[in-house]
Amino acid sequence: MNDRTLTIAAWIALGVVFLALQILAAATRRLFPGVGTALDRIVALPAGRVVVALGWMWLGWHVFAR
Amino acid sequence: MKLAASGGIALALTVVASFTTAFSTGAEVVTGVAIGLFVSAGVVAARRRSRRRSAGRPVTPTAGGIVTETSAGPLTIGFVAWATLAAIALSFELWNYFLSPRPAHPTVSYFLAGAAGEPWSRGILFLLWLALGAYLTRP
Repeated sequence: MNDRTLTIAAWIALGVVFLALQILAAATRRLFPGVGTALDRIVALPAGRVVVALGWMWLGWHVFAR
Repeated sequence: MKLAASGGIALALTVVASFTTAFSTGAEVVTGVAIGLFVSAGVVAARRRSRRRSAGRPVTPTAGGIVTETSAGPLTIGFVAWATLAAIALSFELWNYFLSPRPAHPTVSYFLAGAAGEPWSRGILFLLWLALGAYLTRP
């Protein structure tokens, strides 16, 4: 297995963990937070909102413009 | 009315963006317009939050009614789990970014560039990006 295959496999594994946590959140609504709830907690803080907003701008420019 | 206007602008930008390609003037303009609108909406939302705060009303919703306890419990463990996953993903992204040869170590950009390769998929990604921006500029 070469480096590229290993790297892609690792990204897929991270994606699977993300989905598993989100499914867990959906199954246990009030016990385990979903990614939306976690994001709500971050943007409730002014500094968190600014960081996420800057990340949003960078992501859009990086993916769609550059 | 405002929602309909915002939705119309978002759809118009999405249609234009779906027919652009990265590193083109069109892509820079449409993305720049979206970011400009986002900043304007963010400033308006911040002012509204400030007014609410000075009026003594709650500034942020309670996350869809979900209990937001602060003591160590399942919810806190959940936030730690998300933070850990984000930290691992970010570290792995940086690790791959600085390794060479680049094709052997694809980053998230590689997958996103592939996903945005067709006009329809580029349009969907652009609309999702706008939706996240709208969520961030809630008053």
